[in-house]
Amino acid sequence: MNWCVYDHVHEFLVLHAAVVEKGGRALVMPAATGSGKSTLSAALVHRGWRLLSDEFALISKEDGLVYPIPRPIGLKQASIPLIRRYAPELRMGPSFVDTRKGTVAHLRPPPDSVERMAEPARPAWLVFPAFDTRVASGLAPLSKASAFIAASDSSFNYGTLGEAGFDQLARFVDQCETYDFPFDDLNTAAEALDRLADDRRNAA
Amino acid sequence: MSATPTIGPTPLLRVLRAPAEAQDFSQGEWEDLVWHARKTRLGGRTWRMLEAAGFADRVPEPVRRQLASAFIEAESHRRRLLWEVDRLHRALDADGQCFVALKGAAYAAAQLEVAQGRPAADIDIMVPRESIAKVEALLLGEGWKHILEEEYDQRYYRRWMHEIPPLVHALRGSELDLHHTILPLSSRLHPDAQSLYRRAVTVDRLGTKVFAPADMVLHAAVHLFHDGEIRGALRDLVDIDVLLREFGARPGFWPALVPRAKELGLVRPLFYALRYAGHLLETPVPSAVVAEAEAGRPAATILAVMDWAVTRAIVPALSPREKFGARLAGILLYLRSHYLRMSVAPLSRHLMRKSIRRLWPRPSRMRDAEP
Repeated sequence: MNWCVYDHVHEFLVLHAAVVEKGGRALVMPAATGSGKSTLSAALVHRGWRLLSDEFALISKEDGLVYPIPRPIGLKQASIPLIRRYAPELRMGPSFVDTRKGTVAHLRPPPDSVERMAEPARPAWLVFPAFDTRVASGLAPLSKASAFIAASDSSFNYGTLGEAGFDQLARFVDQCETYDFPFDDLNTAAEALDRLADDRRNAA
Repeated sequence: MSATPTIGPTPLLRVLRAPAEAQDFSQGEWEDLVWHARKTRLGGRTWRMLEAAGFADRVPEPVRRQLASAFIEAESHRRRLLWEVDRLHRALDADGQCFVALKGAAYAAAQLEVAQGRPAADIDIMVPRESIAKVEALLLGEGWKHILEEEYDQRYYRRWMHEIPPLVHALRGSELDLHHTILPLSSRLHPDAQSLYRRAVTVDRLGTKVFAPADMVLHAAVHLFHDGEIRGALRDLVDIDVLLREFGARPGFWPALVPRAKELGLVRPLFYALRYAGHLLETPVPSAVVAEAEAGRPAATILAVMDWAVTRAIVPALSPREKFGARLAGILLYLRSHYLRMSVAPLSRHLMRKSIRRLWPRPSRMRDAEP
């Protein structure tokens, strides 16, 4: 399924990233498996963000918007009881023990996400989350150049798209506020990301 | 048995013949086209043709997405081939070793139309047989390594084939076939490799050489009808079609084609190439050339069997009835290709060896021999 997405949709620049939206603005969180992007997006959905995807950011070549592909949020290991406590209203499927990825469970995307699955969002924040208990947590501004490199690393088809991919990624990064985001506590992290959206609204 | 294919042209074939056909496609025909394009990996080529003909905006959005993506993918392959050619110059030029780029790499380096929208996995090059050892050593020193580790595979390739066992680049993952001629040594045809080199032309600033147009077409024909598998190989026939359409517009190409095929002893594969490209893709070939190529016409029975088998096997089958025919045709053509590649004694030894290995697999000897 994942392969089908990133191997056949080259009119999008595809990043391995979770995407949530509030007030028409998308928060894109590219990260490797295990860095907490699914868990974070579940927490943000609980706090009223719309889920676009916990796996793929589909950035359109035509309009630069991020297109939704809402599917169940995959949670692993300790994230499962954590989200069950944090967001009890989200429907969670059965846990599968001992898979190749450990214990896995899936959250149903909220009805609102599914109903609005044709509605893209303007990218506003590019945040690289990393669950890490050893460093000070919080949003740390990241240069556009570093963000560009990191985002290109997380792309499935940046190389395939060639020059067009470079232009698309540059335009995308330019549109976003860019941050590194080490975090060690789910609630604090979700609050920090919430504030991003609020700041923007206050500023507007 | 009739000479024309009995299966009606699929929407994909119709577009490959004349892109304007797509103007009146129903949704069902578009769906059929997408299925065939994916199955044959001709989506990129189809998109290229629709765009060039100015029909891109007539393509329904979901179909456009599929075809345009396939084209983008193929473009990335083309860039990769060009990069690998560049790296090969770096590995070989200093030592004075020349190579001729073949197939996809040649099409890309020569900036031919056929390279547009054409996916390509491997890079193929040819060097004189006496340089093989030296070139292989240089490549092994530049990060290329052998894929096949079994000593038997290594011996088999070197004794019977027209190439050494395939190489893979340790960092870039690209695969390279290093040839010293265009057909297996064991094959029934023996085109003169020297003559192919003499006529090769330089096509870029790096000094990359490719076969002259006629030789390029003959190589494609040999590859499809004398060496490779015909089953599902519509792509290879399309290569021939697009090459012929492009070269055919150049003065002097058509009159020289059949004489050159005769010189190299390749009139039979050329006959097949012109025949099936004409039947399936309506490739325009001057009637004088068709008449000249009659010199390569096989006996009536063989031709009847080939007509029946090729038209069924080369296009992917949809319905159960087609599938059955395609399967049978595929088996026939498979046996034929083995027969053409090798005389019976070494072939049976080889197949015996491979079956034994499949029944009793054992660890690689070469790996064991390593410290």
